[in-house]
Amino acid sequence: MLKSNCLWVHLPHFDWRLLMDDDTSQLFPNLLDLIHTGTSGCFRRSATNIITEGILLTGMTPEKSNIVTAKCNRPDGYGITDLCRPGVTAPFFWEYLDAAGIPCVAINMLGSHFSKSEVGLVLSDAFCRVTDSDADNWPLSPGSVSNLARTAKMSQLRWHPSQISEADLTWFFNNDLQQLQTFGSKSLARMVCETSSVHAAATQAIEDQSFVCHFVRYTLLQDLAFSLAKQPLRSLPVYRNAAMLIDGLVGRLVQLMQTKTTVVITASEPAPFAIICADAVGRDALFDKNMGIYDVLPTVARVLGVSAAKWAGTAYCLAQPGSTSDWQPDMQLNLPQSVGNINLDARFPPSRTQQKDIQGLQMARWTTLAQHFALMGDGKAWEMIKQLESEGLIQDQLQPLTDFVSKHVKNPKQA
Amino acid sequence: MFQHIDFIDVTLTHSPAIGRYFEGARDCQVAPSLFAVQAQQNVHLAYVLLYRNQMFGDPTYVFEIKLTAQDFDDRIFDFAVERLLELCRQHGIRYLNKQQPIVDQDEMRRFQQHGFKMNRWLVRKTVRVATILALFEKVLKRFKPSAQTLAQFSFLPYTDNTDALNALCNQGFGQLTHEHLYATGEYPSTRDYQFSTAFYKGEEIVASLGIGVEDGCAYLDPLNIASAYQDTWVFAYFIAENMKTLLDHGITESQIAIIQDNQKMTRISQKLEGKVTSTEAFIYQKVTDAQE
Repeated sequence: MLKSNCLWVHLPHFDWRLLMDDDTSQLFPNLLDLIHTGTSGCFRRSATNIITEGILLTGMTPEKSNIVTAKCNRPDGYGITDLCRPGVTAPFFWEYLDAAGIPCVAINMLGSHFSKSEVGLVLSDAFCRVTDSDADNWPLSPGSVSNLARTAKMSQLRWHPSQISEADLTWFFNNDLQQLQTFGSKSLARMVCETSSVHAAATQAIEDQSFVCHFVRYTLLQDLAFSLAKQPLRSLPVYRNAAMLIDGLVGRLVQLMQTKTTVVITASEPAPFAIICADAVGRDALFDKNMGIYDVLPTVARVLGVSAAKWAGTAYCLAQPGSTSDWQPDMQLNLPQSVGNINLDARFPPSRTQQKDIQGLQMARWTTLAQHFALMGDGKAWEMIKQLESEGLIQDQLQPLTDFVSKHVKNPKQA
Repeated sequence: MFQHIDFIDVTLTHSPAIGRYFEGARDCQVAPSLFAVQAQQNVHLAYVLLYRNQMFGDPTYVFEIKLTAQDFDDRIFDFAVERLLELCRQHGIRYLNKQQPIVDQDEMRRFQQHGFKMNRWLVRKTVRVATILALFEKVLKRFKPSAQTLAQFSFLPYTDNTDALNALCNQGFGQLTHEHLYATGEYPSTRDYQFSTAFYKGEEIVASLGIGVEDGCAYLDPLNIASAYQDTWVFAYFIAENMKTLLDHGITESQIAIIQDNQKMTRISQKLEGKVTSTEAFIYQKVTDAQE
């Protein structure tokens, strides 16, 4: 068994600077408390939110996990689809644990649609997505819940925008109704409802006491960042208030967990950060300066007393000075058998439109990987540019990317 | 024979089987789920495809069933349908359409036993090309356009302006039909679609007709025509001209498909001599009704 229960909350687009800035940090008492009671720090950017999330939760490079872009090749070979489990080629952490018989719950995690759980529960990123205007006629997407026995109970926890009013939402804009209407109350209602559904499901899962590990992802800030693209997010009241709400939700989950729980908080944009709190983990401490995002998962696993051979990073020791805890892993996790498709050829080739989509996705993938490798200081970035050249991209189109990569990695041609 | 058959979600492990068993899945907008009737580990007696018709708004789900064994076993079929309906209830899916129409009467009866109802049917009929031409030439005698009017219109190959044709198809059928996707060359086909044409007034597309020729027979897709031109000479002229082209190339037989709720085409088809080759039924179920 694990050394302790675990709560891992992922907060895409939570800005680390909000917690480090004396003027704002007091607005987030729960996260601040976790920083004071655990070991934390931020890491070098890894290109995009999706790539970072993939690394944090699979421990593998984006090339291996295929978590690079928001879309992936459709498993039946007919084009592209939203990133979902059949398109991900590496196991998520909870899948290793599930295969080892440790009950986990994963709620709203990236690329988890169509995931299967043997002993736990997966509510995928499609579970809370508001797809219908009528709350009474809002089917659950097949593949969004595993296992099915819990479906009916969990689907009743979902929040629908028709259940909240504009008045409920003005708080996000410091009670300025006009600003809310300019932003779009329907959009905000959808975002808030999706996050509320995640929180309701997470609360229920913790109260059930059926699970050892809990993985939860709140996407409110990510949704806001997407809607408010290119605006200075940190200073916007709606972003700050939403971050305060998220802090409150995290605080509630931590409060509900039993004592002796390992709490992990991660975020992926604008700068990835992690906070790890456990009994034997150093208090109010910073990560080793050499630690990077690849090392987060192996380090968390080490705190929990497990390890797997497949991860790309290093498991750092976060023990308090003088701690007598055994930091060697007790359990080696095996690769879950459920991951990886059987090899059946799709009989029909993709249509012309789909071929264009596939080509576009491939270009986006190489571009994103080039940025990632550049930021990691890896020469593979130039191989990605070569791939883009071979696809017919001309120098002018490639110039911004080439400039970006040149800043971080030396061009082998010039060397 | 099968003591412990089960109905399981195999999207994660067997989704490439979708391409093998469900040709129609190529057009679905939302990632489909795949379920299997499993007798033992990896022995699948049937597959069920299930997907939402559109990501947002329309909560209708579409399904299709394929038995993998050659010998059709009613018990496997019944088991698959029952479990599919149970799954829909668990997920709050209320509207379920079968993807492909049903041709076989026995199959229809079996679906009806599970509460499915027919919402419309489609008749396929073989008709001589000359008969179609004669009918529309007769109509044209009364509504013949002037040379001046005709000069504003032109015929172009079907694939010349796919975007405009897609828009016209969406207007007429609410989706890009399977036949339309073949005619635009989106998917490879054994039929020759070179006779498919589109009819333009200046830059504006007014009608299009997909025609796939195989073994000397022209398979005529349902006609796409802009609403403003539906009751005008364009309708008769466009079909007549296409029929002339087919005859010029020695193609004398055709197969037409008429959807029941297209009353105009139903009336026309009654005037055409010919032989009904198949009647296909589209079926649906309001799952909550079945529950009650």
